[in-house]
Amino acid sequence: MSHEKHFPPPLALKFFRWYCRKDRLEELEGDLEESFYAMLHAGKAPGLAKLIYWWNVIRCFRSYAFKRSATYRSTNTYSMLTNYLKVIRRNFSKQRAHALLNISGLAIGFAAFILIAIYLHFETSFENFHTKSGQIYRLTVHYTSPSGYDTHFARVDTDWINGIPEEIPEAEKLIRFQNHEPKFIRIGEEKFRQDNAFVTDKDVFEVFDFPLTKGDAKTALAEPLSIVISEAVAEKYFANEDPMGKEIFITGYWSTDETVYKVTGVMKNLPANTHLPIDMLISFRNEAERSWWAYTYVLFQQGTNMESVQEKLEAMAIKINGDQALQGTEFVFQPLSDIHLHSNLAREIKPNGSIAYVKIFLLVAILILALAIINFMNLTSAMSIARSKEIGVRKILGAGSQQIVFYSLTESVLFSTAAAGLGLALAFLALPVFKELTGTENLLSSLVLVAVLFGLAVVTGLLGGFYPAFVLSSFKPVNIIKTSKAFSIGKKTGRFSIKRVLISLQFGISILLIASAMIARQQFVFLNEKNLGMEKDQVIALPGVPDTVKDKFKLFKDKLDGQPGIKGVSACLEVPSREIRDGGTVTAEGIQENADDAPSMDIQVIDHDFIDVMGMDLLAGEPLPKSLAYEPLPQLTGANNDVEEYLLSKRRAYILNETAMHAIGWQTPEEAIGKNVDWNQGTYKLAKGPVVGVVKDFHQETLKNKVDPIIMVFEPLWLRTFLVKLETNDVASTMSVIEGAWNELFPKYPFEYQFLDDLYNNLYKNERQQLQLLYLLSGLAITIAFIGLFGLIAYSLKTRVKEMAIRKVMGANFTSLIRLIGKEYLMVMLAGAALAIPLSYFWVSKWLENFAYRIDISVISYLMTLAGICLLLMATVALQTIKTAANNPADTLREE
Amino acid sequence: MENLRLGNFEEIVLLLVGVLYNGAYSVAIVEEYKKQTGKSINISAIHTVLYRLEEKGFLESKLGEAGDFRGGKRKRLFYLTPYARKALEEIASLREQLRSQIPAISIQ
Repeated sequence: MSHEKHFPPPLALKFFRWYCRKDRLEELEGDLEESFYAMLHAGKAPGLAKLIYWWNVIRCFRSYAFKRSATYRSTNTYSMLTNYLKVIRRNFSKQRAHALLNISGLAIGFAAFILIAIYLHFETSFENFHTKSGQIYRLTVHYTSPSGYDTHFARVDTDWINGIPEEIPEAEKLIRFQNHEPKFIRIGEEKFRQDNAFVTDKDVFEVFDFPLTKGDAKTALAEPLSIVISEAVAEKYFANEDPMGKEIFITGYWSTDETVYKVTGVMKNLPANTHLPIDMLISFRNEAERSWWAYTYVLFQQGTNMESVQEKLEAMAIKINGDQALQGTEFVFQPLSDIHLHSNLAREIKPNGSIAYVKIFLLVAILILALAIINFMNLTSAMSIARSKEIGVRKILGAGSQQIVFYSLTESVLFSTAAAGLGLALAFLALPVFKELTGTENLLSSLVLVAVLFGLAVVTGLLGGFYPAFVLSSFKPVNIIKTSKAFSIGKKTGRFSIKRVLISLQFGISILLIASAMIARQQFVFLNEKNLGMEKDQVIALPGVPDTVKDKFKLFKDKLDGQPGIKGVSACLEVPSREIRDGGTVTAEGIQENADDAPSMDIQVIDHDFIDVMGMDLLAGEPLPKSLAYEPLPQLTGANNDVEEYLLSKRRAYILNETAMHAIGWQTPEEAIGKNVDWNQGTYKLAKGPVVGVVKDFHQETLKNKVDPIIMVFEPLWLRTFLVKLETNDVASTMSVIEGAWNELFPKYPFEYQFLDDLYNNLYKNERQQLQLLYLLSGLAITIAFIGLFGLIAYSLKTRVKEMAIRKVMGANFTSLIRLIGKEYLMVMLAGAALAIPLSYFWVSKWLENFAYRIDISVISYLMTLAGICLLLMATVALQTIKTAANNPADTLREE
Repeated sequence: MENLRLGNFEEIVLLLVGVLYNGAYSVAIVEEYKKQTGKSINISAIHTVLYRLEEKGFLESKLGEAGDFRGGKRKRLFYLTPYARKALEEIASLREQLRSQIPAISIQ
């Protein structure tokens, strides 16, 4: 009535009008309004009054105010729904054990699905945090030669590519990550060895999303001698101090000089889903430094046609280097986001994943989910058959089939939603273990996960409820009331009833997963236990030693030789377990003299103790002669071809592996001994020298790859790894002896080592993770399958109690009863196996093709899987049958 | 003991409706409650009880005048039913009866 300046907040009013029932709206709205104006009159601030009005609207959100149309409560649908829910609840409590079995089977399925989803999401999410990832390509180079050299490198060694942004209009930026070797670092008195440290261009932050928490991305790497470190490194080096402006001393890889760098930025730690982990970025000192091997990334304009870029790049190569530029050389651009799953080149920054595994696990996820859903269908229909009388009565009282279907679907959707909740809880409980097993981080937002899962639950519920719903709705009420129908998967329901097909599918999926896991395990054991042609145990490797350390190797070796616990000391170029990929052509006197068609071989640089220290088998000849002794390294500047001259001038002797011997054309090791060979890689030539020994083939690299022809030679300039063979039970004290010698000779460098067997194990890290995952999943699959089987048999027997009793009265014993029930399931299982085994064979042999050295798939694995499942099956049947058959037949039969 | 179906708060609201005879509607009850007990209460709590009491048959109601500050909306006025009067009397006499039986010594 009054003409106030303030009115109740319109939104609150709107909300109130929306929920409030019409017949009470006037009085209630009036009440609220009156209280509002009363407050204003009492002198309350309008804002406060409005707030209180809102509060009152919310407080009034109660039953007395709710809309309820007169028809709503009294419709048949509403009361039927209440009735359904009531009966579903009662049924649940009546058959609690079976309902729980049903729900937990599905929950395990959902849990497995969630875990795999997390894994798959992680694997496919690589590099997606770089906003420009769609425009970034990595430039790689593929070298081939007619002599058989064929290596595709993940990085590039030609300098003219620096001109790409100028020459190719689509290219905006080119970023080099070079000097990938570990950095030897000193902060005050502390020494560190830093991996994932690169020298890079100042524009790196414009191309990649490396967010800086401190420092300015525009200028951080603009000045020479600037350094950007990750938060993790900042904490390691400087603890809680502010790292900005701090000094970091890096000892040169090629000289003992220390250079001081200034921290100009701190970078957020990168997530795990990148192939390019960065802990330290260092600025270039000058343009001339932008040279030699570098992981090279090019940022292109949006919508760039890569084919035309490729043509322009080739034209550019020819323009700069002449017509021969592309002979045996192919430049390949890889999309950044494809690198993790699609690239497995030489010298990758870290081992990548594989699209094949992503596909396999996607398939497994679908299989397990199918298994769980089938289970759910079977158990739900079995449970509802026990309630056929209820359905019969409902039908007699006038329920149509549609209503029965709706009733049934309501129940199964409720069950599957409960299972989804339980599955989610299980998955999160298992997540830490899962992370450990697979190295996966959960990057899925829980919201998405929950939404997807519950969507899936509803679909599963509908799918799972579909079949029982129609079975139930098709019952003839008279029959149901008249007879108590036995539930059986046997002949009564027909030879190819859906239920039998479903059960055999379940068995099939279990057998498929278990047998595959068993064979994969055999291959894995084989990988670890195969004789590598050398002894990798008790060997420590100090890889990547800098030139300055190398220079004093002789002293180091002399210090350690003869110490207790140390069997031998040697050095080589590439640490065993790492592929060599340093190829050159080998000509041999009297057999392969023409350099043009001479075979290409990897070079392994060794010293005269290498064969002994590594325990390799000499087929003929001897180790390298001791006369090729260590001398002080020459001071080479690279000017006037002095490196080439030095290499050519030295006296040589060579050792070949078997494959190399065959590649040259010698049939027996003896034939090769004493013949002169040499090795050429471009302008680097090693002088001719005799073959002094031939060793049995050894596995320098993973068993996925074939043994390459390898030629071994002594050249101190090219040694890069120290090897120490231990022979002791007291590793710790021997290690301290080695460390003492190291610290005395190389005080500027931290002492870091790895055991050779660990290095070899790491080669199969992916395989190990996949195997673990497969174990876990096949375990889950068999659990789900047997939960289902257990429930089904129990139900089947429940409905056949009388039959069993009569059989017993007629003289049947336990064994014949077990046989009777077991036979049904056994046949169904065998049908599933018939489907699964060929599929598994196909799948596993495809997987095994990844390995150059592999096991044969043995029939025994399949027989063992079958036998195991048979045993479990018969045990389940026996357990249940004994329970039923133990009743006194008189008790059972008296009831009617 | 039919009257035990009345809760403590319900009883107070009934009494307030009686006190406010002919002017008993929610906002007035809230004010009266505050005046009599010194405690404040949210209007929705009064609504809940009023409608519940009406359902139970203790109150009857009709729409009254629009009144002040109500934006032209009528208010719902509540009246005690004879059943409510009887219930209130029963409660009161029961209480009186019990109180009279307490030995004087125990409340000293």
